[in-house]
Amino acid sequence: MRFFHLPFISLAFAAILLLTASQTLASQGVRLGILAWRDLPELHSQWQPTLDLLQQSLPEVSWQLHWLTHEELEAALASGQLDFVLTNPGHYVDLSSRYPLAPLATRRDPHALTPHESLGSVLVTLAQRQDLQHLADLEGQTLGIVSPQAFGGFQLIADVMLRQGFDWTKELQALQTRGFPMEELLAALDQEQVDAVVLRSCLLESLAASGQLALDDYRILSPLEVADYTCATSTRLFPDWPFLSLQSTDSELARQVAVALLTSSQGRWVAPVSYQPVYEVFERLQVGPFSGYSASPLVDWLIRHRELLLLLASLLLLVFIHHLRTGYLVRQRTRELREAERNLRHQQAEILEMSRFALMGELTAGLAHELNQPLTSVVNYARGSRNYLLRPEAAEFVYRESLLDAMNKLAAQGEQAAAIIKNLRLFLRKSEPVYTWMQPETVCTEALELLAGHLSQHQINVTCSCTPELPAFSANRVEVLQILMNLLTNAIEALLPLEVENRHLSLSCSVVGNSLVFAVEDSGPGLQGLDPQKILTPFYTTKEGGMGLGLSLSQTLAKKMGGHLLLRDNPRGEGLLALFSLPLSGRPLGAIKEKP
Amino acid sequence: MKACIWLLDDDAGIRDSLSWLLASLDWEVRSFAEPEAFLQEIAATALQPGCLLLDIRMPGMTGLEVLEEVGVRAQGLPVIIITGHADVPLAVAALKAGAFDFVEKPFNDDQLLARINQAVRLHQSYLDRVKGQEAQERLWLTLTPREQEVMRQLVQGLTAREIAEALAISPKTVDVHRHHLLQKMQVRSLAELIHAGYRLGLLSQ
Repeated sequence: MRFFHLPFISLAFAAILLLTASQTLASQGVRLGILAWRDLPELHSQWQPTLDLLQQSLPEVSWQLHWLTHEELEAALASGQLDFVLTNPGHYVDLSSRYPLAPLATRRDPHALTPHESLGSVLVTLAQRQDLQHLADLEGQTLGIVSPQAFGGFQLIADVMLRQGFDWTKELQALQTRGFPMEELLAALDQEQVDAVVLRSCLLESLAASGQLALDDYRILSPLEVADYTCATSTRLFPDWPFLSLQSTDSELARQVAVALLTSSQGRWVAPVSYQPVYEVFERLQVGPFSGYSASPLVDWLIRHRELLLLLASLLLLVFIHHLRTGYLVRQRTRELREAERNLRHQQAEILEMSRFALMGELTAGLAHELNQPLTSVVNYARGSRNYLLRPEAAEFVYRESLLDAMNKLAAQGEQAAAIIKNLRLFLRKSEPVYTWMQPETVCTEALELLAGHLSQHQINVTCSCTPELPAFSANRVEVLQILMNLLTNAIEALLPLEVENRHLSLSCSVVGNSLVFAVEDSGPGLQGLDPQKILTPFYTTKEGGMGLGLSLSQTLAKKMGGHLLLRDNPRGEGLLALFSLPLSGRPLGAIKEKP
Repeated sequence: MKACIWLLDDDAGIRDSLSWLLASLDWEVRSFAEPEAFLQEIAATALQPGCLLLDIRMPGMTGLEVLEEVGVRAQGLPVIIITGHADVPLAVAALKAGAFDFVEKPFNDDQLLARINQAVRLHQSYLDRVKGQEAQERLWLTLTPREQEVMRQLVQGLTAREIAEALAISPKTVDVHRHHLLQKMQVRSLAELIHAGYRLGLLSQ
């Protein structure tokens, strides 16, 4: 069913309409803006009595009428193009927060007993939809409205839904916004495009009165009985439309308009009533002046101070991030410090070991010099004595031969003693890391000579199997000796618990690939399940009173020269096999840098 | 003259034992504990053949300083450095400063004695050379100015005729001068005369 109305327009009004159509808002005259919520002809018929009243009361005033939508009305207000406004209570309350509007009078609906209760909202469905009785039955249905901003057309129903806990954003199948005029909604309902519609109260009745529909075709959902109200409503009732003046409106004119409206015999206008109930609805819905505000005072306060709160929250976030970062940095630094401390401890221990060597070197150097002089003297005396015994004058001396023999041995022993001291001095000499060319067998012999006393004291049987055909190699002599002596000393200590006849120690040297490999083998207990890698780490010791540094120091020295140490159980039998390899490459070993 | 072995070492044990060793081989040994005493003595007896055994490490004057001083006061005296701990830089410095050789304590006596013998022989020949040169210088002073002039020309390699022309005298007179030169310089042939002139440094004049 469509609504086609032949416009009924009085001649007087036609003139006013012409003025309006020209949209010359700037022209002189009193400008009245009216919210256009229905078709223009309907509106004209609705407002004609009021317009006639004004025209008659204030004949000297030329009225310009502007039929405006919600948005157009607000735009006209914003540009100061209106002197008076006629709009619904909802729109008025919304605008009142932004524009200086003052109600001159409130319209009284003939259907209502009081102007306080004359406007409501109805939920309408087709009469045959028996399944829809209450608001709650709308779950899963489609609801048609004119606009979410419509006061009687939506916001009042929305308030009821809110209070009944019906969340229309979730529980409805769809909320169809179909726009003004409101009669279109009934057309959509008839065509079953929607299941129910929201109408301003009394619209249905007024359409029925003009014969445009039959009330029996429709049914009201959740009807609310209000005494002395002749229209059906689904909501409680609110004050009717206000006639509004603006701050810029001439006050004398406003007074005259108010007088005209209130003193009219028609009785359509009464003194302005309170619109507080509308404010309450808007506050609950958080729309209009309350959009963005919450009904809760706490939330409200939070929203009012949101900039400050946002700032505080950002600050807190920053503090938190800073805290996290600081924590992370502290952990990282702690880890680094611990590592550095551990490295430092290793280095200190190695330096301690080195410095003990250095100290021993110093002591030995001094001692060697002191001993060398008397030893030289001993040798000199022995040689001199031998020379005297060889003279012809001593030919007859009975003990000549024995003494000659003794003098020769004396000189030889003295020289031997001096040689030992000299070797010790060379070994412990504070030397720069000078790489020299050496024969492997010489180094082996020297290492064994240095330990000769130790070996014979413990009656250890040593075999040295370095062949003279081995190539010469370049390395730090003192460090090679230090490593070999360390390996040999460990082997000697491993042999001590054994019976004398079982103490066998072997030092050998061979070429494997491009490396020279020194091997120290003992007949001791071997690794006994210990991890050979662990043995090479600093501070690992199985000896009482040992520092656990000898092998790790040797490992460090070997690596410095481009070689390495390897410990394992002797595959050829019992005991430990310690291997010390050095590269035989042609490049100068002095160029090999220790890894940082 | 019997050779003398000079010994300079601050260690009494070394001095005494080394003296005993050298004395057992019939060497004359004069030992000193301090460089000053030695340097005075050596200056007074510079013409006796021998050599110096010098400990390079001593308190006070170092071995190298003594070595330098010996070069001034007893030119030609060979110096054998003795040391308890040979190191290469020290040995190089000593040899550069003019040391004859370098021996490490304790000594291999055969090697030491061989070096001492060489050193003494070297000094002997040095002294002989010095002595011969001194004798020739004395003879040179007995020559007349004209004879000295003729000898210079002869050493330069000029013939009798050329000398006669240069000095504006007759060749016969040159022959006479030459005869006198052989007698006065106590040489038997012209070759020896020229050698003596060479030793006197006439060639460079």
